[in-house]
Amino acid sequence: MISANCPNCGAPVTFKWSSAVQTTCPFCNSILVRRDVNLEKVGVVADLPPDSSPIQIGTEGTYMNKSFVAIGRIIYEYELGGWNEWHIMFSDGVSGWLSDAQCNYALTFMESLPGPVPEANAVQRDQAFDWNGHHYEVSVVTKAHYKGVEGELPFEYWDHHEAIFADLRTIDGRFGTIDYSQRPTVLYLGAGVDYDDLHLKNVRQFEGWN
Amino acid sequence: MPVPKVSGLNCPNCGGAIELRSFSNATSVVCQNCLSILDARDPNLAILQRAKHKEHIVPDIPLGTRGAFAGGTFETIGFQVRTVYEDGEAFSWQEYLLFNPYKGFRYLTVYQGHWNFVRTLNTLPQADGPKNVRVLNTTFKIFSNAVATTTFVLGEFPWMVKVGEQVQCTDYVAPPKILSAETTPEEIVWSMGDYMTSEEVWQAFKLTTPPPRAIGVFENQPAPIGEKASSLWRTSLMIAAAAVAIAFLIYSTGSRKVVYHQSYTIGTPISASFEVPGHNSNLELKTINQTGQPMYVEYSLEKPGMKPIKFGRQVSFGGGGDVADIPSIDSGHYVLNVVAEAPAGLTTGQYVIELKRDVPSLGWVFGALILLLIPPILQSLRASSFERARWAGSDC
Repeated sequence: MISANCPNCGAPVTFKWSSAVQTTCPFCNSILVRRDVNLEKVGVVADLPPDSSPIQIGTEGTYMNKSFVAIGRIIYEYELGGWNEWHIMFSDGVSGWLSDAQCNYALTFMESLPGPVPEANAVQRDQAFDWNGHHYEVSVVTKAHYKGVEGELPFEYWDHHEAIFADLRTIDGRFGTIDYSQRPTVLYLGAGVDYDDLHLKNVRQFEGWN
Repeated sequence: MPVPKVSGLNCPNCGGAIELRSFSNATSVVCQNCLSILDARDPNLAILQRAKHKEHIVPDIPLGTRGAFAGGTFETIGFQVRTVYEDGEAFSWQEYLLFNPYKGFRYLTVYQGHWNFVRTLNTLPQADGPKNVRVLNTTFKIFSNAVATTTFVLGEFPWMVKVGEQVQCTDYVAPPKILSAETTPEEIVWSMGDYMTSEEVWQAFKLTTPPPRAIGVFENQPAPIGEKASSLWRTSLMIAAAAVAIAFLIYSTGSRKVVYHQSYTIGTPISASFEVPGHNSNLELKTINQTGQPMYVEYSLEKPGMKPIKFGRQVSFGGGGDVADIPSIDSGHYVLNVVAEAPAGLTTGQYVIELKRDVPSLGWVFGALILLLIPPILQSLRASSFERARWAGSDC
């Protein structure tokens, strides 16, 4: 655990994950980026849009017999809704992403691109990629806006606006996303997951549901 | 972070109170009072579509009702009627949107008292032949393909609902499961459902109103229990094989001993005397008519202390002879009195009387086999008429 003080308000800021590059000050909502040993304020998170993800910073769960904890997130919004990419840290230090799109969950890990992918303006539904012996098909292409960040992230992510995401699916439940919001393009691969299979603890409480 | 709640909001059209049950998942919400469709993400609830409905449909399951389903508790939060127009006729079904803040959204569809509990798939179906598809290890047969129009909405939805919206709907079946593809220019949404009866749905929601009656056979309705003809066929054929084996055993152990054989001239009554050996069993009486004419014969089998067994038979000329089976005869000394009457004028001509002990009959086996095969044949017919009724509704 690394501790520092917020360069904006002086409040103590801690990193749960030693490789985190960016975090937000829980008190003044400043976006803080690590520069060597110092924290630099690069922006401020506007009020996060209301969302109903049952996951929150500190939510714990297990995936493939490994425990993880949610330490940060990126919030996206698009024409018809929004979703959260929860940045999760596994007990062995590996970082992953648990996406929650209106309670449709997928757990993915950042991968280097195994082959060429179309440019952002050329990617479309039904394109297919054969990677690592699996046949991935583009199921939907979404143009989304970055709406905010919270907590620890493995990279700087604060000045993005609109981005293209191509979701990939297979016949056996694998899931992936080609993320065109970063340069170069980033690939996330994993699988769709059921809420019950994650054995989540410390989830959000909803009035009338507990 | 506080639970985001849109509360104390009012419909900008009629002022009616608006309530949200799926928190900020709601994208659009319908005013229960004036049926205007409102933008749930807009703090002012901008009107997206003014009511187009001519009538206010009241869902059988009230919105806000919670039910216990496979996978948890879900609450009804939205309701829509979707209609397919075909040859000038309108077919409508209803869809309830269900919500649990942790497990997400499910759907409950109903058509004429037939229900399906549905959730979206996170696997891609693969083509299985020109029309069918396969999901994991199950093949689904194409059943219907039509454009569905949303004709009535109520409650809230995590997408922009619109009356008049059209989607291409393709259904595939593998009873009791149903697979549906909803195709828009943007994406194909695949979902899978499990058949439920009205009674099961009413029990899940603990409703006290009478559950709607199911009409006809639905596309993924499972065949009623007990109609599995294949297992009946297996059982029946096994019993039949056992019966044939037993019959063969009995047949091969029959002694078939000839206890009497004598040729007679027609006209005079005769009295045959003979010994019947062995355990209680049957006696086969064969009469061979060699007179060239049909004749009528009266028999009387007698033994001291036994009521005489009397019977008569018409015995035609030629062939292998007329056979009468006298069942259940004890051993002992017997007398058979025979009076053979020939047509008027015939006084000469021969006939033969032969008696055989313990001649096993196979007639019962054929009877038993026919009886054994009736249930599976009936079940197969019933199952095929159920399948015919199912596929009568298919347009593919």
